Amino acid sequence: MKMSFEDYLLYVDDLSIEYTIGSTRIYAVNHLTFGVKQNESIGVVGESGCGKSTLAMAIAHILPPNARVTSGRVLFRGQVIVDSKMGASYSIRYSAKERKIEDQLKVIRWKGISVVFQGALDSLNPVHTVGTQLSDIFIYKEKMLKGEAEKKSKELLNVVGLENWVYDVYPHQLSGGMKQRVIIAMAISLAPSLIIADEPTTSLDVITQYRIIEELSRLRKSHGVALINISHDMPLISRLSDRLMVMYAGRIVEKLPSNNFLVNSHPYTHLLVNSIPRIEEDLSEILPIKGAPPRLREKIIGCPFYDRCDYREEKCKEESAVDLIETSSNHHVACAVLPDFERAKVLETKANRAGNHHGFSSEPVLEASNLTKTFEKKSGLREIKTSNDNEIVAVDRVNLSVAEGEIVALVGETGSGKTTLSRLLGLLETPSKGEVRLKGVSVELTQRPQVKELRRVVQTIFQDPFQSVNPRFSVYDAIAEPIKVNGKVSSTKESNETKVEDDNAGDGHNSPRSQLDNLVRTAMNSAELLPHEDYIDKFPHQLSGGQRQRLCIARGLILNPKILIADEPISMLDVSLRAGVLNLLKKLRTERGISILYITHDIASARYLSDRIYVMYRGEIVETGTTEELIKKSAHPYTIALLLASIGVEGSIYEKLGKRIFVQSEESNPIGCKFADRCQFAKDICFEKRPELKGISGDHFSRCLFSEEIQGMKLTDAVLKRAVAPKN
Amino acid sequence: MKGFRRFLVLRVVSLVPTIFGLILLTFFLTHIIPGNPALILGGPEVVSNPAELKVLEAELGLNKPLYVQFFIYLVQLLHFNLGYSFIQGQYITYELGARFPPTIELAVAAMIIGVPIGIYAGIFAALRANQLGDHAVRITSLLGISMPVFFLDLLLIIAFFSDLHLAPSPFGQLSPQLGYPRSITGFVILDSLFTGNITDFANAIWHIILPAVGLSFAIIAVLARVMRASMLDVVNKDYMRTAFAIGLPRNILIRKYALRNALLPTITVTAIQMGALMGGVVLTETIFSWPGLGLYTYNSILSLDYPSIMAVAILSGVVFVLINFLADILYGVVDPRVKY
Amino acid sequence: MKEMRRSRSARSLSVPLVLFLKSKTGLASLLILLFYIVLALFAPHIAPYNPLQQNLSHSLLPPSRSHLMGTDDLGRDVFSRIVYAIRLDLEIAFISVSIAYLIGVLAGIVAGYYGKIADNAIMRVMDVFLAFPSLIFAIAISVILGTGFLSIIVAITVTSIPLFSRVARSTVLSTKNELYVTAALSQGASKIHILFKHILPPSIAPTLVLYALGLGTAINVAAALSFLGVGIHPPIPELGAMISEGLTYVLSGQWWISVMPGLFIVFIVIATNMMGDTIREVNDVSLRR
Repeated sequence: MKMSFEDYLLYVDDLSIEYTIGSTRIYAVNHLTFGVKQNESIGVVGESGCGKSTLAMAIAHILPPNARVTSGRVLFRGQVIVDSKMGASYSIRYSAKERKIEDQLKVIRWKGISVVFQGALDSLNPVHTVGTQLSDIFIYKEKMLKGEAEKKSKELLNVVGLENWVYDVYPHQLSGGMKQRVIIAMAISLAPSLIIADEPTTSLDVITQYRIIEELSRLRKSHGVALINISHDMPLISRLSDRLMVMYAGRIVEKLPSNNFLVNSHPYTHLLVNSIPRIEEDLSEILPIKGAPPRLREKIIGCPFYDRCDYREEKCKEESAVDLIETSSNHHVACAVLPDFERAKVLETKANRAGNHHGFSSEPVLEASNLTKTFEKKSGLREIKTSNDNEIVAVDRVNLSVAEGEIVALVGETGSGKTTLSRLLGLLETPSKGEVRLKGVSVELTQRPQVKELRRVVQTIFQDPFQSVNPRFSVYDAIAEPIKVNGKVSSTKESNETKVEDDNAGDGHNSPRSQLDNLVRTAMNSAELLPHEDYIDKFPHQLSGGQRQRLCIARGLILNPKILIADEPISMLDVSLRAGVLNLLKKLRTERGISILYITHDIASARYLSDRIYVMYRGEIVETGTTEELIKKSAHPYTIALLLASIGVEGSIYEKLGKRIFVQSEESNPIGCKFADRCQFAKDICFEKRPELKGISGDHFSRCLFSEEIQGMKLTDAVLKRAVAPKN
Repeated sequence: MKGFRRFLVLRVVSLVPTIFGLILLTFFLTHIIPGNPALILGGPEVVSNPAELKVLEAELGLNKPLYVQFFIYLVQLLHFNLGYSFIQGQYITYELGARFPPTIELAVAAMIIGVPIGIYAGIFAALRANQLGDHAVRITSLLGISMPVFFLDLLLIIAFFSDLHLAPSPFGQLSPQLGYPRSITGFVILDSLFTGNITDFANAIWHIILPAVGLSFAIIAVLARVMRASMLDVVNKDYMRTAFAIGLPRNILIRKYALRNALLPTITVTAIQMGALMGGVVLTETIFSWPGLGLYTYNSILSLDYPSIMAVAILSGVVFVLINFLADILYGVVDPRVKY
Repeated sequence: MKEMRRSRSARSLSVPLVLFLKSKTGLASLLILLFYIVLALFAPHIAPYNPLQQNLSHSLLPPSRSHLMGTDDLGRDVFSRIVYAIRLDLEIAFISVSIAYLIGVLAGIVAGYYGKIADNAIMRVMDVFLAFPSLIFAIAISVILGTGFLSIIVAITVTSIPLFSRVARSTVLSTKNELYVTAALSQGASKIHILFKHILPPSIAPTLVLYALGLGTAINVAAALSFLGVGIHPPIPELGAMISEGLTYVLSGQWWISVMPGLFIVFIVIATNMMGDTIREVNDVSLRR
């Protein structure tokens, strides 16, 4: 490599970092070399465990004490800030050595390099006000007086779009988006020349995400700083970056310009890009990536992606396979094969394949009518009522149906009530009003025998595969549990219902145990947990997120249900494992005719998977229609906001929907339209009258008094086209 | 602020059932469990003396229905009447009033020694996790939570009085040749200070050190353990990483950013330790002949003066409930996340 | 097809056990406890003298080869008395803590799992019990019941029940909200199934920790009660009572009468505390692996 570090603001030179946990070692970062110039913005993309956060925290010199720098160094403005002698960890110990290192870093920390931490985590101190934490930076780093520091801090809050009152509150009193902006304000406080943004938008809602990205990109331009953005979301982070680096297993596998990341050369990058459904594309197939990322317990010789790659050759196992090769200017790839991808194959649209999937009858499997759930607000201490408006309407008169063999998506942000709705439909919660019907039978949760029968019809896949399996259960026990608790072996289509009398082992082929084994195996086949022997005796903590979610799906399938409620089944999974689970759900419908209610915050994956979409906002269904109709001819401003945020063309939301869209709704249960205070198009009548769902055409309904007008504006058309344009 | 007032009122209201339960329980112990409550309340001498027995039965209403008896008991307690000791021949409240100050003095001295040292030792150990200093603190505190306080007192007396002759003889608050200062507050240390009696003051301090140290050892041990764990936990929190990245000065990092969070659990633990301290006081006062509630309890046990023992139980119960109440309020004030 | 059902759930116990034995503190605490149990079980064979046998010509002898830990004012062999005292104290500790464990954990599980009225009723009562400083409560109980073996056991049991129910209740409450319990419910699992398969296993370790710590506390309390004269009465040997008996001789130099039994208390309580700490650590680690 012929880069010389003088040209760079930050230069990472052959950096390797290991962690020691008990007796195991983790090779988190392996021989990374790259540079960041003044004012440059670099995106580092990869899945969890690929070493991107380790890299970021190493540059900021705040790794935990069990991390060790085993090779290389990091230079900032030519000064060494990380090497094997200095390490890259923080330590609260009082040794002379550590003091010396801290003295050297004094001018680097925050004045040279600052960090935008993930706001969703506990990144702000819970017992100090926002103001204290902001002004302490000025007081202790710049020796400012208190009054001056306060003035500066308030200015900063204003810069990131927060008002002065934020200064006096505690972090827990702020929403996720506001906390994130406080953290951004802290990061720019001392005008550093490099900011590291570590997953700055993770676990925020799409619209808030969009706003934070806009904020960062604006600040970057106005303050002239260099940025290193760390994220697992390539399309999102490419909006904020000039160049992208793709990391895998602690190595950089590809460096490419961000404006055209669809033109890539490494098989991993290629799969990653094509395994994410994007809202602007109407794809019939996304590419799953087989296997799971390595756990880095030992050093990998040769290409780390070898095991999961379809294009691998013998030479990939050689040590030189990891060297970055320059394919064109600004484009480096660590691949010995450099296969030629035929992207055309992937781009087959759903429209072209229409009618290819299993037709579904109009017979509804699951119906909800007028479904309402209210919770009582609990005051701090015990449940004491203070006033009457203490009811939270989590689910507000929802009508919904899923037909046999249909995939229906329910899209909504945090707090929209979608999870409560899923619990109502999954028979886990009693509705306050309205009813749930399964196969036409109205469900009464107090009727135990009936409910027990009906639970076999509807099964829920939960969001968090790490919490939804008992850590003390083996894979076999977890999958077999539904059969055991139901006391019956009800089987796949070919065999009839049989009782499981006893748990004692029988060797005969038809003994209850071997029947149970058969059922478990069938479920594992359907959930693609193959080969069985690799999984059957494992415990949840030995499985990857994707495997655990498959385990949950297998457990959901063993009772042979008619409908699966999948509540955000992929949001906790690594990016490379998501496509596999989405495709599995699709296959279940095609092959077994199972209906699926897919609940998500991500309208793009809803478009990929579903036939119909319901959009939910603060407990109400605000728009519903067939997927293509709803996306191309949306008639509710909220749906449009979701779409624009998901497409993410810079400035588009402000341009189309105005600034008001980012306002936080104050009133919990207004008389008028719940969206009116955020809606640029709202007229007086919107604040006076709660709109009902009204038909637009066929299946398409919208809860907006001005649906036709909104639809007529075609707010998403141009943006959708603009987003698709560069590729074609 | 309005929220805080409501929080206070609610907390106070929630004290009522606990204190009521406490009274019910002592009533149960004295009036229901024993076959003859007169025996418990009056002692064997009274029971064998018909005249006194009558007085007792009339006063306590022992021949009336249980709920009336309970009502009488309740009314008496509300008038701070903790009963009558036939053995001492006087109302218990009167004697307890005189016994209170020495015990408070001793307990406060133990807290003054124990709380800061315990907290400091915990921080010290956490900052040197798995180094020599940490191991020393951990072993010492293991010893501290395992050692019965009366045995520790004994060892202290052997070492500092018998062998080293550094401590005064373990009998009471002052050396016998010195007269007590004029009583203003009832606290010997304060009174001697107020009356300008420096000899008494120095002597009182000299006498209180050993028993206070003995009592404080358990507090030190428990607080050091809690503080160490909580500090280690806090240091690994994301917000500490933020503070490190900013490069705040180390003492600000520890004192302002880590300590405030780490101290939260110690509030509750300190309150619970006060309960243990009350038990420890009984043992320590017995060994050091300290004329407080503890020694009073011990003497009452020896003379089978049941009403006095029950009075001490109910008094210490109420005090303990109030301490926990204060800790609760304090926690609410210190931790902004607690919602009122 | 048969090999499909190998060694499942065998892990759930063996892994923590191995971890416990591998840790230095775990092994040490177990060895100390075993040593005490051996002393207690074989007291008649181990004690060189009759613990009650007075021999005034041999009174107040310092530790020597014939009297390992010296003799007391009545010429009784201190070591022999200690061995029998350990037997008595361990008996008190195991009986009272076991009863408290059974009642307390059961009440805690009922309160946590069934909630509402049961929870309120049970926990209110426990609150009242916890409102007394425990040693003073124990004194009050044993005074009312009259001194002796049984009343000590009742006193210790009653004062430790609330601790067990608190811990059991809080683990049940946290497990009850686990997503996997919701998942089991959604599959139609009965309350009993969920209780036995999901709720109970995780509450074993935390209550076991408390059991170990409780043994130490029980020995401490028993000794304190006897020391104050409300527990076991002389001449029956009990560790706390022995300390009390030797008290007057400490100032005149015959330290062994009190100090020897005191050391035996300290070591067993250290062992139980170490054992509790280790179980806690092992449980944390084994779930994370």
